[in-house]
Amino acid sequence: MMLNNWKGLVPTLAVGAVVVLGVTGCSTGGSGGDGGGDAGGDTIKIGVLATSEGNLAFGMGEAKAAIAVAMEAIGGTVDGGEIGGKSIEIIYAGTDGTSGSAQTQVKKLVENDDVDIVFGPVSGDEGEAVVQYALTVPEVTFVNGSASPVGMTLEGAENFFRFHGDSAMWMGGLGDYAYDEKGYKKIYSIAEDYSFPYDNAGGFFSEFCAAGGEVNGNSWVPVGTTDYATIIAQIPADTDAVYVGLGGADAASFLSQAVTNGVDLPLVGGSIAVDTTALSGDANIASAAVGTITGGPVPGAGYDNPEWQPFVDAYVTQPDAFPSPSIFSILYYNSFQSLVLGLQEVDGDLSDGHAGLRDALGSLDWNSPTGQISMDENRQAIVDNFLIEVLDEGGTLVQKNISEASGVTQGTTVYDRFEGCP
Amino acid sequence: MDQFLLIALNGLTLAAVYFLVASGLTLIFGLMRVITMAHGTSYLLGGYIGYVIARETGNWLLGALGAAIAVGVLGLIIHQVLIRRFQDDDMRVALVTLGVSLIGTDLMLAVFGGTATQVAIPAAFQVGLPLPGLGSYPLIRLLILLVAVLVGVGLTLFINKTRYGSIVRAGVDDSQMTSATGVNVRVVFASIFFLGSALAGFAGVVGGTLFPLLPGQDGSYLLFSLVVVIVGGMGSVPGAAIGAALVGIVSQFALVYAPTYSLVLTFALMVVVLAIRPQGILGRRSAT
Repeated sequence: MMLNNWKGLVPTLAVGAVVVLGVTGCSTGGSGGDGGGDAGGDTIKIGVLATSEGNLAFGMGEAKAAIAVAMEAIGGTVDGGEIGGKSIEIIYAGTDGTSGSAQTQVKKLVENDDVDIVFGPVSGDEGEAVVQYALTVPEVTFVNGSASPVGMTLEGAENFFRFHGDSAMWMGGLGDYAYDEKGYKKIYSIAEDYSFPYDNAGGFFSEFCAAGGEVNGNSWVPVGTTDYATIIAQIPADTDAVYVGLGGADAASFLSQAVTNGVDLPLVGGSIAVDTTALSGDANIASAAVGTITGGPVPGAGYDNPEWQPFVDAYVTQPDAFPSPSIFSILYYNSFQSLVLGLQEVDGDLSDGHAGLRDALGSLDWNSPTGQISMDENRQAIVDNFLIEVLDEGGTLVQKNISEASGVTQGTTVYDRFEGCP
Repeated sequence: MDQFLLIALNGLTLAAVYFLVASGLTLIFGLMRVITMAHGTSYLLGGYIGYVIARETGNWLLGALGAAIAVGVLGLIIHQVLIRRFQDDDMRVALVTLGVSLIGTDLMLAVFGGTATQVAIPAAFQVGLPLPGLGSYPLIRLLILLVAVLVGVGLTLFINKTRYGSIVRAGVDDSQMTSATGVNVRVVFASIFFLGSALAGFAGVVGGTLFPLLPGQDGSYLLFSLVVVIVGGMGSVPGAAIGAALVGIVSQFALVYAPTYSLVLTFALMVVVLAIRPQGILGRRSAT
């Protein structure tokens, strides 16, 4: 009778496992729907994609904080408001950071929720999936969240806009700085095995190698790797510095294990490695992070743009906000505010297949909290970029600006996984 | 050669964490044949409870103990209220526990947020221990290996050598006959469910000391412990130890020599073992 029904157990287990996978976002999306919202109506539906599970599970909280800051400034809330007499309804869809789950959720937003505009996603692989989907639904306008592979704006999707730099742009200047100023000759690379770190590390190492530097080994680890003891043991003895192309929980794991495994090499961080999302965890990582240099769209302490402090002040009042805005909230804010400005310019008019809105978005030029944002012909932003060093000032970690570059434009080199120099 | 030894040792210490999680599952799923999909949730919840207690009291042991008891009691309540009456209906139990795990995961995300946390240990344990031929090796990983060995030996002796252990095994093999001999089988099963859940909670604190605690870990640990229990053989504690060691070592070597395929290889291990020995390495042939 009960308990010994071993034969029935295996199929049950299989069904259970399938259900787990299905529910956590690996299933295919719902069908139906006619795509595209009601352009002539009085409501504009914006569907937001952000990560709510996995390595970047804080993404949804950061997205909501950023959107709330932008919406509250025009009298709205995190769930919507009003622009040009049209009411704005914001619908959120959580993903786990994989392309499969992004695909499921973006389809749900467009086909079931009937949104006019898709806003997001967070991670690079998701971004590539969403761009491919954008090509199939030209009647919907897509504004990127924080996904930053180089190739996304080179796919020719006329309805896709990115209001921040790509991940190769973020590393601009860091390779020369590491070689010339820091004197690093040999760097070992540890990075996650997906599109964002390919471009992020590619941008850094192409410059570092051109300056004369050498890559003395690469470890491409699966996203979600928590045990770095073996990877750390691979680092050759004559290494000058370690490039850490990890983000979120993976970065925090690596940094804390670098402490317990006695790594005393200086680090070069990818754009999300020493972000506030990694540093705010409780892991004891301060001693590993000090001295790290990195590049990206997040300005360090002492940044003097007058738009910056008001944004930070508005951000920290949001529920679940980090002590300072993360790279994700900054990119989501800049992108959402760009969308708001575009909608304001056309008074929420989405007629004629969003033609007016797309013209407005494509020619936007405004001073964001992190500097001037303008657009190139691929609907890719031209932005300011920052080089940062993590310093220990009296026990607290401070990210100090080394330099800032303005008007950084996109290159056209798309990086793939590489061994040695890219 | 040093490299080889180091990777093997890393694999074994990682296996220690997998074993601790899987030891609870081997009681609940392997021995009692209750398909629980909430075991990973118990792991993560235990880790978070241990994290809070250790942070407030500064005492790691108190955190581990508190987490084990709290998760054990919660597991007991779930067993009594939700599982017991359908215990012979595998599909229903799987779906009920799946529901519990989804609700639990979202509640934990709401309470503890999406960033990684780690259970704090005294700085005295965050040091390297000189090992002959290997140089310095993190002391904490060796201690965790020791804890896993102690738990494994204790559990094996409990199930195989004590009177209570034989009552459990008898109850699983034929609950009606065991009841007829005057044993209250319901109490026996409830106690095993408590122990299995408590072990998952304890494993959460141990795992959360070495690795980050964050949403999503529940799913991965459920999956890894299922692999460990199935590879090792249902209900066999030494089997779970062997399974954990295999999974840990395979995943660490794969991370070095074929990082892209490290997950694939871990599951390939399960496929190979099931193809050769369907009952698992130390599993018994099906009783019926």
